[in-house]
Amino acid sequence: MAEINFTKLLVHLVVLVDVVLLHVAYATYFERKVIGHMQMRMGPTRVGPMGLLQPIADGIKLFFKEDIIPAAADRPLFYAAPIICLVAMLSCLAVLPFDPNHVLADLNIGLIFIFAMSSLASYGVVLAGWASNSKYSFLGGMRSMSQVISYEIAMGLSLVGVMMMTGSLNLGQIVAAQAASPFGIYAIPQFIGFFVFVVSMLAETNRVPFDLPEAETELVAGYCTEYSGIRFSLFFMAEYIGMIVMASIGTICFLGGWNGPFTVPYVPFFWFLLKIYAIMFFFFWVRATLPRYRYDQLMDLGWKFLIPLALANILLTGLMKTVLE
Amino acid sequence: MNLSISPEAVPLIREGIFVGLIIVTVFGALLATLAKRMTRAVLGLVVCFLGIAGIYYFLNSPFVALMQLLIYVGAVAVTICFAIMLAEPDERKLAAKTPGMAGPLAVLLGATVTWVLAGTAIKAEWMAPAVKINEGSVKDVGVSLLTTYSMVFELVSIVLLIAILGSLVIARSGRDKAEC
Amino acid sequence: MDTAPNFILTPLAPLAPELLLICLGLLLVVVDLFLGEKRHILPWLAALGTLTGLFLLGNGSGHFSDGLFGGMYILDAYSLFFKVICLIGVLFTVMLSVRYLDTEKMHQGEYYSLLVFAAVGMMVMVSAADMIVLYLGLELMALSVYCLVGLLKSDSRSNEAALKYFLMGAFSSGILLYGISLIYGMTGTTDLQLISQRLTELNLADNTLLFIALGMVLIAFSFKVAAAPFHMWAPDAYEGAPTPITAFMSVGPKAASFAVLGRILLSGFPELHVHWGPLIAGIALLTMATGNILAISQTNIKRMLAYSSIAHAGFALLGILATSNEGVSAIMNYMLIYAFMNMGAFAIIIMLNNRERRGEQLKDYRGLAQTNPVAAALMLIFMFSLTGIPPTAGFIGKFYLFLAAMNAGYTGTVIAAVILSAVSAYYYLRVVRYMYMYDSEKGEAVAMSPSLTAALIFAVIGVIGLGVAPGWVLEMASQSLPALAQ
Repeated sequence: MAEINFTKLLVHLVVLVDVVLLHVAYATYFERKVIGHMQMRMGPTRVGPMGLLQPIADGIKLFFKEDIIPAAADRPLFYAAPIICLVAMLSCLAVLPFDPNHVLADLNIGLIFIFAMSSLASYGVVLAGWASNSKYSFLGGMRSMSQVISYEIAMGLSLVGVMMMTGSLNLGQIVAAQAASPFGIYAIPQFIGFFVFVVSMLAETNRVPFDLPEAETELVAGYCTEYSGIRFSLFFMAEYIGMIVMASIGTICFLGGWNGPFTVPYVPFFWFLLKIYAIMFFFFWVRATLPRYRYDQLMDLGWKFLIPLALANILLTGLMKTVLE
Repeated sequence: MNLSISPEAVPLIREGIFVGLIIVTVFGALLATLAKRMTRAVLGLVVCFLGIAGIYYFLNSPFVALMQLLIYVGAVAVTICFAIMLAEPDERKLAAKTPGMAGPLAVLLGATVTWVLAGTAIKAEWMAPAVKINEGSVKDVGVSLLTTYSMVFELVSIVLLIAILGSLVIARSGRDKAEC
Repeated sequence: MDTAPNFILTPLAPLAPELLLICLGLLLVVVDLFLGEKRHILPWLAALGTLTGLFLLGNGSGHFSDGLFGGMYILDAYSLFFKVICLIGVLFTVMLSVRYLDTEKMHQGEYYSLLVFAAVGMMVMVSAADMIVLYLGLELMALSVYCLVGLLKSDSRSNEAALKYFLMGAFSSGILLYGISLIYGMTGTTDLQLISQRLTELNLADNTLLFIALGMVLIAFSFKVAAAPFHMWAPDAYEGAPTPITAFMSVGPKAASFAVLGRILLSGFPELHVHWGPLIAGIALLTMATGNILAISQTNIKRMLAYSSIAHAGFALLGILATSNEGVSAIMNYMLIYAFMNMGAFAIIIMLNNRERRGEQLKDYRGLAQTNPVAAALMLIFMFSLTGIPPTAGFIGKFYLFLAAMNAGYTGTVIAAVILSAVSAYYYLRVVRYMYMYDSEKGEAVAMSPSLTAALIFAVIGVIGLGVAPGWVLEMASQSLPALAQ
């Protein structure tokens, strides 16, 4: 205990954050390409071969843009909001096991940690909305907050089934227990839970069809309307990291984590990445195909359909567990 | 850069972390009380909760700490946040209304209470620090909730049910439109 | 999975009354949803359930146990007695509510449900042998009552009452929790019996911090029973609340709080009597003085009864002061009697409540003896009883309380109590004067309803019966005690 290898820790930290931020950058590229092709167009092509340098160019542009702060904004909160969002999302990364040996903090209750952090992130959003002192931002922030806390319940409950089957909240142990289970992945025995998880995952990350907080047709850009330049990009990063984190939880809890049909040499996290990409692709796919929900429908769906369904799933899992043992 | 920490420094670091958490908690509490804008006060409350969660973590109860985050920060304070943002209290009016003597009097009274309590508490002979009964893991918590504390557990659920029922009764405007 | 823990299933039969009432509370909410226009059967359902609960309590003596749920829940004659008082209070309240809710046009299911849940909370409180359970019972009761107080949503007085009651209640709960946590820190347990043991083992009787902690618990319960100087919320809350709820608040929660106070002080902290004795004596004296003197200037009868309720809390504290079986049995007796006479008085107030007047002002009682002699006569009996004039039960109640405190050596306090009791005659009998000495302004007949009549008959039988033949209750009360005090 008394000896901590700071170098290793630091390197691990820097590499992790860098890799994830790089993924964020290319996730935007990926998204534009996927949606582009789904809509019969090319997506970005100009910057670099096949537009591959587009995200870099975007990043540089955002970084050097003027940082505009509305005169009537509540400055300290306005400054703090995007940072809260980003920090909360980044700290989720610490407990994610990318392969058996790569986890920054092997927390026994990693799953709860992620929930706690994502509930912190919602403060960033609502404070951004409030501090901007603009009605679009405010409405967006409120919508986002109520949506996130509503769907967090459904999501938490959908994962209870997994917790019951594993008997642990440690993400690594969840993956290990999954590998030992008859199907190899929990998505099959926990299909109800998986369904609830996927839907609430979309809502948690404010993605289509639940992107009401930033519904551009009614709210301009929701809670980040008044943000520009680097502060806006912090929100942007937080959102995409949130997607990656959610995809990772889905991968870990339902799709078998780093395990795959065969071991890939030298790249232990091959399967993990592949699954994350698959889920990310699903995000984009949904965005390109589904229309937006109305707000009351969104709330109805969460409270009257998903939560009861998740509760039923818990009951069912418990019953199955007692019957099978 | 293999930084090794000498055994003597460990208690010092512990102390440092503890004091840091206390400072966060107290800062949050002060912000919650003194902030002029209600939203900032809520934020102060959140900071205070965060500090308390940290103290739980420090005291070897990670589960309780995260539950504190999840429930108090993630749900209770959010609801307060909602209520305050939607109600939009007129903050100028609030600020103007404090009577002259109330502030100093409150400080005096608070200081006296703190002084007496802290004074006796520091001198008091406490029970030996609680022995670590279990790991404080989810499983242990769950087991003791369903065995030793089953009565308490059930009662809490009834209390929460009543809280929901009561708030609905108060908040909703009657069953028929004419009633209220 | 590794070894399964040993789940000890507690036999649930002894908890039958509590469980029944919880089910009743849930049932009332659910049934309300489907009843539509037939909602008037709800009070009868509630009354029936409460009666069944009382009946189950009557069978309860077979289930006495020192510690259900690992010693957290005690079923003894002491708790049984107070549970009966609480349920009688609920039953009365339900009977008083029918007419009142009709007049005020309040929605119903949740009202009765909250009432029943408050009863459950009180039952948990009086049976609690552990501070945590006690606190939860207290919260269950308090949350329900806060909501009940605020139920007249269109009435700003009711809103104000609920808000004040809630803020004060939450504050006192906070103080209680602080006290409990300090006690836990000193003794390492929340179990009352164990606390008492540890106090002697660890020689904590003279510990300052423990004294402060106990003081916090006392303050919290002083809030709950509205003892001075923590009584400020009571008049406003009592005045603003729907009248049946005011009646309920002055009987149920008060009895339960006294039961708890008795159990904490006499079974948890008997060693500290030297410390808390004078404190309680001071509070009792101050409470009696405040209640009785401030009641004189009231013109709103609900407010007057609120101050009277404060005063009666002061009298009841004398029983705790005595630290003897005699004292505690006197409190039990007094609480039962108080339930009957206070409920009776409130029943008359509700009787006079209609669309035009609320029956709350003293002048509404002018000439009641002419317009409605029976109601006036009943009110006369209740007022006499509240004053403590023989042969009504109120006299018996006060007599035994004073006797117990006297035997314990608090002669001065008792003398003050007697004097203040004489003061109380002024404001109680003023109501009588209004009824009998003045002419009515409007010759308005009061409407009766079956449930109200039943409540009045029940109350008057209680007041006269317990006044004429007091022995059996006292005997029952003192028999239930050996377990509590030494």
